[in-house]
Amino acid sequence: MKQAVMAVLSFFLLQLSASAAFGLEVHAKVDRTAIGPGESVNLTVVVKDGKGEVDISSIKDFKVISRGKSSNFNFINGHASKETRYSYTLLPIEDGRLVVPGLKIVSKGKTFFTKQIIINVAEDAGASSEKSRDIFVLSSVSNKEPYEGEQIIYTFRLYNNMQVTNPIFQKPNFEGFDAKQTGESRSFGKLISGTEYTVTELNYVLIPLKTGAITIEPAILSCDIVRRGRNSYDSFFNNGFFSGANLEPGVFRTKDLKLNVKPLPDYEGSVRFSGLVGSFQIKGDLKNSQINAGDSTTLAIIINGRGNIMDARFPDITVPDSFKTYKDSPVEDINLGNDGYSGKKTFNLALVGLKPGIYSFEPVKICYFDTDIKSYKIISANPFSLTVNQAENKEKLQIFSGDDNSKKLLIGKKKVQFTGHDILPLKDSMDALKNQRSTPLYLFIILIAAPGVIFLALKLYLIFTQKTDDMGQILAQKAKTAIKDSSKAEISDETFLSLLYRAAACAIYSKAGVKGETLTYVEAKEILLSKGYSDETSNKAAGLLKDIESARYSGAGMSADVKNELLKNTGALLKELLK
Amino acid sequence: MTIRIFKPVFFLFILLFSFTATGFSDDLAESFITGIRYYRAQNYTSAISEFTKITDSGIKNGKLFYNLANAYLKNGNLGKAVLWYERAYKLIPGDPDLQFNMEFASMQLKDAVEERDSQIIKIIFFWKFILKIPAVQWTAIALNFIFWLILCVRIIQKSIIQKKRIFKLPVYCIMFFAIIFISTAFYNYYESLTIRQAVVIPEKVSVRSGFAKKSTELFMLHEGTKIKVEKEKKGFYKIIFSKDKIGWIKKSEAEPV
Repeated sequence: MKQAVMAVLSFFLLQLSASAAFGLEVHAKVDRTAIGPGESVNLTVVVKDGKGEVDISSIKDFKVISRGKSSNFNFINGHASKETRYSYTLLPIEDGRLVVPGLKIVSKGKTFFTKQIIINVAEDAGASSEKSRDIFVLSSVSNKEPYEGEQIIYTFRLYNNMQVTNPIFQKPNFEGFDAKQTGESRSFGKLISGTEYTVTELNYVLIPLKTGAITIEPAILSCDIVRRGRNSYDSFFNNGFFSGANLEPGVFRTKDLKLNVKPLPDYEGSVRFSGLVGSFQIKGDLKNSQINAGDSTTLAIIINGRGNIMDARFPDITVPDSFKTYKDSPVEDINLGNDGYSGKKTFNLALVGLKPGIYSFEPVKICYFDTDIKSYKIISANPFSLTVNQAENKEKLQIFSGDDNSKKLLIGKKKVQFTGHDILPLKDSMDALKNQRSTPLYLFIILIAAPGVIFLALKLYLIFTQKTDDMGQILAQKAKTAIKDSSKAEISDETFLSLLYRAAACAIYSKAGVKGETLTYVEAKEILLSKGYSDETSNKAAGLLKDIESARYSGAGMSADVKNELLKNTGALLKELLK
Repeated sequence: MTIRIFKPVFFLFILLFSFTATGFSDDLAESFITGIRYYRAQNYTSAISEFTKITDSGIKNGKLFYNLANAYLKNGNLGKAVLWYERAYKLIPGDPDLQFNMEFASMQLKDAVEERDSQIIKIIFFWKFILKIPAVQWTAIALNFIFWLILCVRIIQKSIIQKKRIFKLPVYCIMFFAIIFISTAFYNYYESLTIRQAVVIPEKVSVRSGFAKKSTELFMLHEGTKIKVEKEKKGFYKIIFSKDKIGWIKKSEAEPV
């Protein structure tokens, strides 16, 4: 059995090596050689009996989209062969006689070339006529000669009478425009020459940012076409992945759109140009027609219309000198629809009347460029007048009799407001002629450093003066040495206990500041209590002394645990007292 | 004998010095009083002239600067008024009259103040934006003094009564606040020594991308607007108005505070 398998494998290998000996075969083919503008060609490069890398950099007349590769293995009449297919979609860059040059394939250091292919791109070529096509795309703009700042609508439409799925839309980069999609795509039906198409539409609002000729690049839609019948009117977005359906990849491209953006004409009017381009209206709304001096009212200037309304600036408002004005942030209510930006922008101005009188306000005017009449237009809000009355000086008090329980005394507290505006007077004291100096940096540094220096001096003084005659420190040091020595392993139990006792006694005496190495439990407790230690600490110290003495004088041997316990307790006492 | 000779010479010296000093003060006092009279008579140009004589003599006084700023403001020179108010603020920051008038002047400015300090500086030196410069300095000095005083008490107490030290928590708290105030005070010094503030004097100033005549106009500033001067070159200041508004103006268009 094993031999039989080996024989079959050897046969295969022999066949493969035999076919390799014939050499690599390459060729390129296209699905059609005549297409209309916006249509695509499917190019397949076949590499037979070997491996190779296809170089597509020589294709200049088309935009190339790679669609992957596939391999298959054939065994026919005892001859085995392997075939690799590289698939591409070619989108023509221009009309005319376009060339797919011989493509270079490199395999095992050898170079092979496919044959050149000519593709004719023309309006009437192939199946380019809209009538005869099942799927096609178109793009358009609402105005090919807009003014700078004028909004236009770019529309992309997909017409299909076959079901398509997995759509990927690649919009143009809209260089030279401020572009924004106006909303979701919408679909509707349309009858063209007796064929009903489903039309899917996408809109973008474009605002030209520069003048001159601008080209909008083609939009590209790639999708899978569901080949199952000719009369499918299913929605564009339905999933066509169902049993029995064949998915055929397709790429569709719109044409370039060439626009000429015109600059705005020169403007020499008296009213400042607002920067708005489109169609607008203005109106004014005064909240109160009468106010008291010192009180405020609000003037609202509303600009509404279609165009770059978001760019509207606070209009110039001429206000009499007897008013103080405060600008508020503008309020925008702008919508983006299929016809572009439209809405309103409200500018609020608070007016505070300073002097009584009747004041007339000039109508607020703005100048914008009207795209309908293609010239500048000045629009104005309605004029209005405002009466400022003398401020009431006396607060009205409601006085109630004691028996009128139904009413309450209401004295409303009001925030004090300015009724006039001026600066405070001069300072006339003669000390205004004295030179003033702020704290100089060097003085600040001295004042900051001085306490620290004093502290260091004090510390040094204490160290030097207490070094020799401070009994407390000498005893503390003695206690530390004793506990250190007691930790040594080679010493006897008696020496160990003697050192522990000395350590504890010296630590307690160090607190008293008197010399001594022996003391009773009562003395130990008294010393610590007199130095402010708690009963617990004092009792603990006395108890430890007692334990050490008991062990020392009992004569019995000590276990390692007991020794460790005593050492640990003595260490803890020293830590407490000498910290 | 020596004392007898020295005494008359000493008195003569004092007399001469006092005469000189009195003569100097009288001129300035006369200008000051005249300036106030002119101001009250609403002759603001003459008032400015009189007050300027005093400032030109080298007197630095917050009240004097305040008076001069008032005269400029009444005369309609908003830029100069703001400049002298700012100069007064350095010397008498807590003066309520000054604060009121500065607020009044700032209401007339055309340029809205924009963020200039970084957020990190605002967080680290937050006292700088709450307290006046002298208040920060003296708080730092006081806290520092208390901190070291407590440390002195602690070591003395330790050396005398041999007991565990006191004021453990307060000393840490005071140290914490002392560090904050001292660093803020030093930052204030750093700012006053290295960062130059200036005020726009003309009614309108074009801030350009460079100091060449054809440099692009980046933005406009109006009189009284405070700016930071970053450097000086060929008769121009490189100024910073806010984090994202930087450019060049002529030196004559702004005066340092």
